[in-house]
Amino acid sequence: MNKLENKYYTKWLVLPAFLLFLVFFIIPNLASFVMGFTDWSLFYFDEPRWNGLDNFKRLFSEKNFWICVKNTFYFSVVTVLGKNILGFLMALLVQGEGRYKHFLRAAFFLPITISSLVVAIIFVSIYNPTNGLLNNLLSAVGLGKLGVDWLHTKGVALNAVCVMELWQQVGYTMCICLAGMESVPAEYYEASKIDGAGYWQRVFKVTIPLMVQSLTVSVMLSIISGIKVFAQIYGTTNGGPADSTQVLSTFLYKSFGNGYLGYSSAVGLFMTLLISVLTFTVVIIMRKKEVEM
Amino acid sequence: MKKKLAMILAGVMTLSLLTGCGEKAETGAEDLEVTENAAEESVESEETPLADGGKLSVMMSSGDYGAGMITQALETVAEGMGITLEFEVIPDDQMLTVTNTKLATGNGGDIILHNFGLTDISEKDLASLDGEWVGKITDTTYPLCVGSDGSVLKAPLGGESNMGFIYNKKVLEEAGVSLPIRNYEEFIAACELIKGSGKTPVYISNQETWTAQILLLCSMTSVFDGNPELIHKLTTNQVKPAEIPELVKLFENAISLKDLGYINEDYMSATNDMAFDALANGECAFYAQLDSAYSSLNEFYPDKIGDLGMMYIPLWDNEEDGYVLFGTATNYLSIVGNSENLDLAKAFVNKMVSEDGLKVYYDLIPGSAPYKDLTVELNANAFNREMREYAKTWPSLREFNNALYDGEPALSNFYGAFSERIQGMFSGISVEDTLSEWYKAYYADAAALRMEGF
Repeated sequence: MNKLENKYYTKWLVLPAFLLFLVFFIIPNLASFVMGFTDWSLFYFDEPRWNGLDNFKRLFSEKNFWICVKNTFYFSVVTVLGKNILGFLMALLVQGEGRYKHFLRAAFFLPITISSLVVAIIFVSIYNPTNGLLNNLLSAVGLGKLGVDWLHTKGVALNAVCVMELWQQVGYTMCICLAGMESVPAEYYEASKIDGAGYWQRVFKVTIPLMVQSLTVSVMLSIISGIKVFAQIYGTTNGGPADSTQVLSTFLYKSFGNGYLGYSSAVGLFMTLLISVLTFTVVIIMRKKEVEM
Repeated sequence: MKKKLAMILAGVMTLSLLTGCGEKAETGAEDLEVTENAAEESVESEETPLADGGKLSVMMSSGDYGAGMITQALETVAEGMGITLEFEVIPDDQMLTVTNTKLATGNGGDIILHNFGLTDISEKDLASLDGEWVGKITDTTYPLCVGSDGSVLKAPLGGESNMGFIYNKKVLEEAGVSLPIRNYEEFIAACELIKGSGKTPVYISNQETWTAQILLLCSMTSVFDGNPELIHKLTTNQVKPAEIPELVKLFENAISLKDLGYINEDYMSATNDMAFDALANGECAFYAQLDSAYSSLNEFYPDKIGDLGMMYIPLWDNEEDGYVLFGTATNYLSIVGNSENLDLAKAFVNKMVSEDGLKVYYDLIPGSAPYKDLTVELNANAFNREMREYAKTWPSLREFNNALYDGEPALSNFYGAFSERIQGMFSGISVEDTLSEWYKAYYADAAALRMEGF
């Protein structure tokens, strides 16, 4: 292999993947970026007209848009915290050697293998106000008065969807945390035991500081999935009641459904910016806390 | 302790997964087991098939596919021609987007069964249709089938729908309510009597986006009818809905049913199927629906169908504003312009809307056919017949967005996701905000359509 071949060898190997990335990601996103500044619609599919910042002006003046932003943030915060705290605790439960360790890990991870839409259908039946499992269960234990129409009561519906998301996704976070925990050398625990540290002291002083890298990944993925949430809302409340559970993705989907392609591109552009800013901010903060092993 | 907790958690997660699987669907496979009746035989015994062999794709919404009767009618006619149909079923709320996207990208297939206005979908991507049936389309439906260049782009198939209250005669009788009820005041008095008898006066199924709007579709056309100045102002953005007092009052009357406690408590999660159940079993008195509900009610509650009737929705204060709603055809067949099977598709559509095809369809789905001067008598349902009686003393109008004003469907672009607005109003949004949101929605449509004034 001559010097020139050697220089470009690795780049040729990357080329196929790069081409796919270019055709299916970079070009559509660039096109979407440009279209965000036009009035492109299904009504005038072949004749988009440049309309400057009109789409963004309309977007920021829409009451529903701000409801969506608020709901998206709420969903993200609740699920990011819930997934990571519960995932971490569950990882602690199934960590180490044990007779049923593999079964438990599989059971906790199982929900993630199901499509979000299927999970949504399951929970629509669980949350059914008249014959759903949850209200029947509450009635059976004498707490029938607590039963509500979980998916169609303002103030409750979004929380109900958050619970569903946690049920499905917490096993995934558990796996990431478990991988982080397993990578902590056993000597650190032995040393801390000799120094007289108790179980929770070992968790807070040894485990967590040494697995911040895993938590960073987990938090970052949770933020991205939280902001991009779609199927969970679409399959349960479809944004209702009265847009009270509408999130950015369903808002985008709806505007696309109405035929406003340029406007939808503007919404998509805003979402991309939002996810990028949030993710980078969190990564920068978490990186500072990482402990070199 | 740790082990026990882990086991409990694992058990709960596995059980939760299984719980959803045991529920019996409210509508499901049983819906698809449609009635098998004389319709199947009809076309097989007809004259020589127009085409022999071939395959056509039919795109339709899940709502139209749902009960299975429309597909059964289409397949029966297709079988008679030796054609195989392949159905592509699109979820209701995605039907318009998918149709437009497929048409725009040249992947529309052969035939579309839909109920879109020609301003909603791309006219230029549809094939023009012709046949003996064109001259027989009723005056009500014809203007909505014709494109801007005068060619017919939609072959009406489903019945011209009546919309109104389906009511339970026994519930009214037990509450001491007698018909006719002629205005809002009388209607409220009736609701009070029904509520007093322990029954729900009006059933609202607000989980379904489209049902609650029927209350207003059946009562607001008279605000615009015969008022060309208002139509002009509205269509040129000189007046907003919230600035029309008669409209505001009708919206207030509609929502007063909720405020006065005349609707079911579970109105937010109630579905159409639940409403049918409550209506047929005498748990409620009125439910706003289309006459096409007759087929489903007759199928699932055959022994109760005689207890049910249909009437207009008297939300108007002054009975002079009253009318009976006669809509346009509920569904249409269009052919995709670049279909690879254009001739076969045209032959099939022509056969489907011929008298033989219509006979097959209306034997399965009784209704008021959108055709005149037919030599065969088509099966109309009891709801249609009752509404026709009311129409002898009341004017008949269409829903506001399909109604003709000076011969033009001037408000066809002003629907503005109206159903979502009314769903929102029943979920707690004020009348003022509801009208404002409706304005914003149709404004966006009008702007996208580059209409003057928007």
